[in-house]
Amino acid sequence: MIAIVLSILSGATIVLSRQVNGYFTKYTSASTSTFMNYFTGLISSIIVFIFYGISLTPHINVAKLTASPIILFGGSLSIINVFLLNILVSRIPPVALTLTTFTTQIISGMIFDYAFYGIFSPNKCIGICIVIAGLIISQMPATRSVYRSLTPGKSK
Amino acid sequence: MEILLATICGMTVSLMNILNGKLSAVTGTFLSLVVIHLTGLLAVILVLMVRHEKLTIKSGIPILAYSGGVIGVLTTLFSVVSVSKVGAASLTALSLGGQMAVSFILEHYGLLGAKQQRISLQKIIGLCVVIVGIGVMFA
Repeated sequence: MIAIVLSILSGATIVLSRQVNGYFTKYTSASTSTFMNYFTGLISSIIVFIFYGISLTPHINVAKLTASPIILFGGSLSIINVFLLNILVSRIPPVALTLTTFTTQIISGMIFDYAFYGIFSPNKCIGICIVIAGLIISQMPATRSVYRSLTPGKSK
Repeated sequence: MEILLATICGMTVSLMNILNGKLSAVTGTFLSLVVIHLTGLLAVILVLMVRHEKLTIKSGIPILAYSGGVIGVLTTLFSVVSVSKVGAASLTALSLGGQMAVSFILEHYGLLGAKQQRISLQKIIGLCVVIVGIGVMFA
């Protein structure tokens, strides 16, 4: 239950941080905004670790880290996302971008869940389809104009 | 080509959540936050160096403008704690529900610089369908 609540809250904080970062970008460049986002995040996480985290840190299994060093670089993957979004935001209508990235994110999430955690169920597939439908419904008026912009030959 | 890049975007986020969750299991939650943000910052610095870009920080920027990264730490914290318990797909769906709810509120009241846009019945229906979908995923 706590995991469910935290997952919902992660979405809330994504929107809040996006709004604040967008506000910051007005005063500086996108690159500087991205840098400050990670820099302030690093400072904050170090402070939290010093005050709360040291006692809660388990004995680190170095063997696991050396066996799978790629788990150390999850944070650096996010820069790929930032870099690509900076390119795409001016090339794809925002709704199409949202739908495409979310759909691939959730479907790939299902694939990775099976690959890494062995999690899979038919209910999950059906639920994902319903969630995608809900997202499309909430975006629907813009979705129609996106379709027209992607198929100019068929537009009125 | 753009659709392919957008696809890579989505896959990257899911993979990132999985890797961060696994890192958290090995190093503990709070140390993993430090590592995640450190590797992210190093990647940003590398990109800035390759593109020969400089940081441009003007004076008079409100302190609140710097809080995006702090809020981002919360996002990462919530994600790494929950991904190993609910999985990346469910995390994405639940996160979407949270994103939609907060976005609708910010837009309805024009908060935090969001363009004011009254919430429509269609958006409410869309959110309800998302919630139903999440319920089916956990059934």
